[in-house]
Amino acid sequence: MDLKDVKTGELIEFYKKIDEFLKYLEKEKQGIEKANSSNE
Amino acid sequence: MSIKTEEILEKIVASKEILSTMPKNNPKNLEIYKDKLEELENEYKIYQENISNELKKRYENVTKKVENKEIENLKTRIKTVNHILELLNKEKTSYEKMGLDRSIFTISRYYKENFESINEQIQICIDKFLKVGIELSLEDFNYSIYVKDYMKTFFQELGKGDIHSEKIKEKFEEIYWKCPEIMIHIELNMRNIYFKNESIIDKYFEKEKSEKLKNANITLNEINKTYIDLKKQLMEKTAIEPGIIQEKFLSGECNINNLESEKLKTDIAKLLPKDIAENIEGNEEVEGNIINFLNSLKEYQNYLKFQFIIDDIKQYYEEKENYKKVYLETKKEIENLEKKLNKLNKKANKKGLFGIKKVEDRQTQDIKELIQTIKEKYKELDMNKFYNKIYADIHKNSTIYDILNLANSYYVYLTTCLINHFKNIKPEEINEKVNELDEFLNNPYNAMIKHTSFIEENDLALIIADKYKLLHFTIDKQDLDAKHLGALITKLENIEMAIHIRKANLKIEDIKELCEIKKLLDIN
Repeated sequence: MDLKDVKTGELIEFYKKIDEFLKYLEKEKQGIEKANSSNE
Repeated sequence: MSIKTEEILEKIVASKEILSTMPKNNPKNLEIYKDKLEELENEYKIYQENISNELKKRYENVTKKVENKEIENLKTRIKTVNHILELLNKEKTSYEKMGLDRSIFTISRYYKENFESINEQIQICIDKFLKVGIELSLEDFNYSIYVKDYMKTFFQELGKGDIHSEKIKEKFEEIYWKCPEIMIHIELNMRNIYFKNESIIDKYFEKEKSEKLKNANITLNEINKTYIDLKKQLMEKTAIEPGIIQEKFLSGECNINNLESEKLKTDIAKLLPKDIAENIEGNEEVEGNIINFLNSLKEYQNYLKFQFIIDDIKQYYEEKENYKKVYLETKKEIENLEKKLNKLNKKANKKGLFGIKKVEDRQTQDIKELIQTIKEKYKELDMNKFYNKIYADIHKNSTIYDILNLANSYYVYLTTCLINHFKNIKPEEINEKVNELDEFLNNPYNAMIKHTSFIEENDLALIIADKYKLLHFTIDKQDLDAKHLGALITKLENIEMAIHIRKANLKIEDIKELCEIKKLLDIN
């Protein structure tokens, strides 16, 4: 990923978006684990 | 934003859509869903790490510490000139110039609270005497048999470089039960050593003063002006040094959100008429007036903070004739009492009929009581020395600065005054206030306090308000009330900071980004 030409402000926003998405993925994973443990 | 990064943002949206369409109706599908989550997680963590590295690189690049040699040189020169000014201080005797007042005050006041710190202060006193050419040994500690006993162990352990050793603690424990006042005896002994050597110490400072003046190539008349000029240069250079400005925001000392353009415009519009407020940027004269106004307000705020000291000194000034001879009289009384103590000690140390007496027998009740009386006399001496200075140096034309400078030169008076004013003040808070007063008095932009007599009932708030009204500021005396003053200063500080940021060729937005990176990446 070439980031050299990306403005710092945009990079910060980009970081936040990915972070938000990673948190979403984590929440989904926890949901699945919870569902699995209640099925057991 | 480059295409690649934009693609990834689109990919996030697409990934979310894919996830939302995946079935989760049975364990097998759930497992597939989970695998997909993990796959995406790994993928995006890599993206995030790349961005994180890039941001960190940019942050480090911008915040890289670059030494400003000009600032460092100014600091060194100020230190030299300040040292000379200390030597020239007419209010201080060699006792205060040595700094013995501070160390001895700590020993006498906190001897019950921090044993280790007291030992450090004893060592500091020994070092201070050595600095003025007096090397102390066990022979100098003969105030009481307990002082001799304690100091014998102290010197032994000092020689080994361990004044916090178990041996010293044990010795203290052993002596304490026989003589709980041991630290007071040491304190008085130190004071006695000073008086015995006072003329030698005075000569040392006289010699040091002329040598330093000669080396620095400054005359007596120039020194104050040189100090003020150097301090102004340092403050001006520091204020627009990019690294220092950035650090203020990164450390949390200043908040970049207070410098939002609209907020600043509103604040300026409240302070200045529309035609001036709208054309302030780059207008050296108006910007200068804003900074001068802020300096005057800060000076006034500090004056209010320490007004209680001026009020206290005024009381003694009104009865100053009473203090004409007090210092010399008390000093004479102490000399006589110490002669008496010397005789009693000699008598007690004489061998009895059956050889050397036991230590306990040698420390008679007479000696203990006499030392107690001397201790009270020394306390009196400290205050009388200060009151005598009021008699000798303060007159009706003395300025507020002269009064506060006198207080600042006498640590014992100053701390006593602080303790009386701020009930329950902690030791560290005392030192904070002492430093604040010192900093206030050393501010090169002080103007009012150096020109206002301490006995005149001048309305300083009105004088400031009137002066800046003439320079078109929208200001009334009421704006300088204690409850409004802080808010007004904060507003002006924000405007001043915006001016400094521009002069440092920085941008508010860039600093904002730096603060955000620090927070996002949890950079220390």
